[in-house]
Amino acid sequence: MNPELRLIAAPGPTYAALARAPSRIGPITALRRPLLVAMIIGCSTAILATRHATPSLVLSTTICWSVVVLIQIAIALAVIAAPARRTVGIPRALDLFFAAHAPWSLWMLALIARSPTAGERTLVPVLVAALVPIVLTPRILAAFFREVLELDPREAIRCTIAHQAITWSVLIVMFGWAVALIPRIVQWLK
Amino acid sequence: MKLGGRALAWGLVGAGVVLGFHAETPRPLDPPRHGADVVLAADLHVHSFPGDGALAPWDLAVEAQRRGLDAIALTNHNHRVSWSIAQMMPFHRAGALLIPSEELTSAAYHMAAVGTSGNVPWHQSAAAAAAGIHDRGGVAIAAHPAGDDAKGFDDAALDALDGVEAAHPLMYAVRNGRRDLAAFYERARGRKPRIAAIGSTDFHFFAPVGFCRTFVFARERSIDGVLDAIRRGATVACDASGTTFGPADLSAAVAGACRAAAGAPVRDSAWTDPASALCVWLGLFGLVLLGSHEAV
Repeated sequence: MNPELRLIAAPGPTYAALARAPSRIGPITALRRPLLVAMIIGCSTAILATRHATPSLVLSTTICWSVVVLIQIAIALAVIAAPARRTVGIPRALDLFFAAHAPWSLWMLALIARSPTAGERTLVPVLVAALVPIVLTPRILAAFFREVLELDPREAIRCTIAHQAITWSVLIVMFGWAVALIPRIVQWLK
Repeated sequence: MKLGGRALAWGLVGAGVVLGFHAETPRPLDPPRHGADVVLAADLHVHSFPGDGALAPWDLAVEAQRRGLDAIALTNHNHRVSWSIAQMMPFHRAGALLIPSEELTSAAYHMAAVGTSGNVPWHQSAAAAAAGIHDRGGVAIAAHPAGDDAKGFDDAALDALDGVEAAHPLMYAVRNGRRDLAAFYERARGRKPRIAAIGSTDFHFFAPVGFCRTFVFARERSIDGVLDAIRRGATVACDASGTTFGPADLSAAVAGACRAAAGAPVRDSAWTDPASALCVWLGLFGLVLLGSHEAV
């Protein structure tokens, strides 16, 4: 089984092995996993919205939605750069951090396979399925902080909570702006 | 073995993108005529990136033309950022006509402000918002006026509206959606018999754009032509089942076109369309399953 899928099943031992393995990851090669994530988001968006893929469409959606990956990189660098006991370099830590994206990547590919339409009666199954990566990601990240950044378990949990709080706050602010959340909340309260 | 698998997965992604190449530039539309008017197909409620839409305006323009649309209105919630970005892009060229718009999203109503020259404040009554839209040269369309979203439209607001979404995907997605939209349209027609019937997809992330559409009997193929037709009530809404809503004479003229457009089929569709999506999906799925080459 590949490291990304092993992280889902056994994040602690897998991250421990990955952190110990010799690696010559530099700043450029550290972007291989983030780039793959950007491509998965871009292609998924293009196919969901049009049911086909053309060169310019895939390029355009990948560039547009790479803002999501850039935000994740910024948040990751903020939490990776701090710990002093880290023995892997920042590029390698960033590379290993993005190995935790497999649950969300699989969820997006499952969404394409389900192929909802504009007149869909309910998207509840899609949203319920998102609970899987929502639950798995903090578990994998806690292992990342413990095994790759070598934080003690309590500190790793604190970092995981902080990371998730920042990520979801940014997401809610972006989503709130996009859907005009404030008037909707007022409508709901009425 | 694993390296070969990854090469195959990358090959599938590349093959999928190449297969889609034929759909890069859809054939230009040749809209039919009805007397002195040109009959344009439009989707006047489309969300775009950046906002809560999947596609950037330039991609939407191409996709809309591929689905047989002549024009789309960029209606993000309370902002027009995507329109501003589209104006700055030097490569924005082909596809359907883009109309600067927004969806005024308030606590009591949603209203498409189509063809406006600037932002309209959303924290005001529906009648005042419609007046603001008119001041900025646009037309005011009640967006999915069903359930709670219809409560903000009092008689003054109905008098100020130029159009009503009579066809919208919530006809299929929400219990009583069809009944509520029909009731609101009849209520609006009771006060303003020639109010424009609008069919819109409210497109966000899931295909297809043009699922519901509006046939616009325009004097000319331009933004002004579309807005003028809406003001005159020279429109027919078309739902995804091929049913028309609007003046009987105009509905009869586009009944066949509406049936043909039901569900927004792709013009000049080819086997390569689904094949391109399938190849890219299989390739990406393979890349995730195979993962990196690191041994653990």
